[in-house]
Amino acid sequence: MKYGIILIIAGVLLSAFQAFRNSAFYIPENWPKPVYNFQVNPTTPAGAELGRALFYDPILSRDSTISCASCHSQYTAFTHVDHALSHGIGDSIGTRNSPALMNLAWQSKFMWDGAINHLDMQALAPITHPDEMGESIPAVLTKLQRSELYPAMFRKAFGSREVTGEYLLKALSQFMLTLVSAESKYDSVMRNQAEFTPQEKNGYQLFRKNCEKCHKEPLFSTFEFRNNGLPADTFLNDYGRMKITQNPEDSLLFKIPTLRNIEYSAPYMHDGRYKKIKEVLRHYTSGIEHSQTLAEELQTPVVLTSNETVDITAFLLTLTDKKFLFNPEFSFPQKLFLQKIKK
Amino acid sequence: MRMILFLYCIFLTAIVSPLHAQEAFTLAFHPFFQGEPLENDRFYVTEKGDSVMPETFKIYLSGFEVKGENPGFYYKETESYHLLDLENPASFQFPLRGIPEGLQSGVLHFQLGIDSLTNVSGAMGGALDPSKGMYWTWQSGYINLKLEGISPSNKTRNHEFQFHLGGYLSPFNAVQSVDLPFSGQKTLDVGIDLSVFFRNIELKTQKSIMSPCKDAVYLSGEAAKMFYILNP
Repeated sequence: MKYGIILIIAGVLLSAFQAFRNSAFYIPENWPKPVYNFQVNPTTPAGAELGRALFYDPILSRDSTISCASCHSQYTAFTHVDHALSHGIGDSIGTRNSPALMNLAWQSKFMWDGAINHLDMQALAPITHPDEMGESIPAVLTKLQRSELYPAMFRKAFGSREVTGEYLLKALSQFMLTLVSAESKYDSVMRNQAEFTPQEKNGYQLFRKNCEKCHKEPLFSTFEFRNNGLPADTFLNDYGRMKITQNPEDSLLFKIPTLRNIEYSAPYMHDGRYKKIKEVLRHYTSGIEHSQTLAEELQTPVVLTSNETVDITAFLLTLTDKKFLFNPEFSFPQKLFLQKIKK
Repeated sequence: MRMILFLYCIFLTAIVSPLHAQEAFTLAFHPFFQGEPLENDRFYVTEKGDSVMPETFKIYLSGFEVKGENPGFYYKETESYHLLDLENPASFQFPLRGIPEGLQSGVLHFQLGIDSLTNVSGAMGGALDPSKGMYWTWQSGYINLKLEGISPSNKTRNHEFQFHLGGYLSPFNAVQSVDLPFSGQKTLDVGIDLSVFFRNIELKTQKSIMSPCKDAVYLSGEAAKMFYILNP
C-alpha cells in the first residue's frame, strides 16, 4: 500500500515535470491568452519534432522539390525573402506574398484574406495548390506511410503508426505553435532589461500615435482585416477578404500583418510590392488611395517629417528577434534527415 | 487493497454494462432514383428531362437524435458524424449505439452537413479527417454533399457536372435539418431519392457549384428533401 502511494506521487511528479519540459511553446510575460485550443492538440516534443520534420521535408510536394520552408525560411522570419509573390513546383508563381510565421497561437484566421479558419487547416492550402506544392492529401499520406522515417515518428507523437490527415495537420501545428518570437530589444525594454536610444524612444512614441491601432502591442497586430489604402494591382485584381465573405464591404481588405521581425521579412504587403520599410512609410504618408472601404484608422492622414520616418524605422528595427531567427530548434532537422540518408 | 479492487470491479461493470443492456438500433440508408435503386454506370432521367449518370455521391450526416413517442424517450448520439459514400456501400448502414429499449415510434432527427462549431475546431479524425476529400483546402470548411457525374445536357468538357455543397458562415450556412417520423422497427430504412435533388436544376445552364454561395444553400435545402422513411 505504501509503495502504491509513493508510486502514485512519483507518477504525478514525473508527469508534471514532463508537462513542464514539453512546453516548447510558451506564453511570454504580459501577453494575452492564446486563441489556439491546446486541449485538443497538446504539444509534445515528439509532436513538434514530427511537425518540424514535415515542415522541412519536400515529400509534401508532388515532385518532392518544395517544402513549407521553401517559402517560409527561418532566417527571414519564416517568409520568402526576395520574392514578391511566392513560388511553387515547376517554377510556378502564386498570387500573394508568403506571410512571415510567428506567434501563430494568437491568431484565429490565416492567409491574407482569412480564408483559413484554424491553424490546423492552414497546411492543406499550400499542399494542394497547383502553384505551390500541387499534391493531394491522400497521396501525401500514402508517401508518409511508406517512408522509413515517418510511421515511427507518428507512433511516438500520437500513439499509432497510422498516418492520418488529422495527425499530419496536428503535428504541423505543434511545430508552428513553437515559433514564438518575444525576445527582441523591444521586449527587453518592456521588461526593463534594456533601454531604447533617444531615437528609438521617439520612434516608439510616433508609432503609438500613428500605427498602434492596427499594429497593436505586444503582437504588433490585431490580426483583423483592413483596407490600408493600397491601389489594387490591375494585373492580380486581388480584392482580398471579399472573395471569402462575398461582402462588398470587405473589398480590398487584407489581414493586418505583425511587424515583429520586419527588418528580415521584406518584401512587404500582400503582393510584396514594397522592398523597403521606407517605401511602406511613404505609402502611409503620401500613397493612401481613398476608396469606400478604406480603414477608419487611415481616414486622417499620417503626417511624418523625414526625421520622424527615420525614428520610426529605428524603432521598428528593435522588433528584430535574433534568438528567434537563429534558434536551432526551429532549423532544418539535419540530424534526423542525415540519419535517414545513412540508412 | 481489496477495497480498491472491489471498487475497480464496480467501476468496470458500470462502464461495460450499458453496452450489453441495449440492442443496437440500426439505420440503413438506400440511394434511389425515382423509386429505383441507384446503380452504377446507368443513366437516369430527371424531371427536367436531362439524362444523368451519378458517379460520386458523398454526404455528411450528423447530430443524430431520436425523439420517441413514449413520454420521456430521447436519444442523442455522441460524436455523431457519418460520411456516406457510394463507393463504400458499408458506410450507408450504421447502428445508433446505446439507444434505450422500448422504442416504438417517434421522429428521427439529423443534419445534412457539418455544424459551424465543428467547422472551426481544427483537424479532426475518423469520418471528419480532412483527407476524406470532403474538406475545401483553399478555404476552410467541410463539403456537406458532393454529387458528381455525367449528363449529355452539359456543354462542359466530358459533360461533367459537379456539385460541392457546403458553407458554415452566415448568410451562406448550408447545413440542413431533417426530421423523419417513423414507427415500430429495429432497423430503420431511410431512402435517399437523388431525383429530388435534380428536380429544380437546369443542367444545361447550371453544372457546377464549388464554394459556399446562395445557390449552395438553396440546393442543400433541396437535398434535405431527398430523405424519406421506406415503408413507414
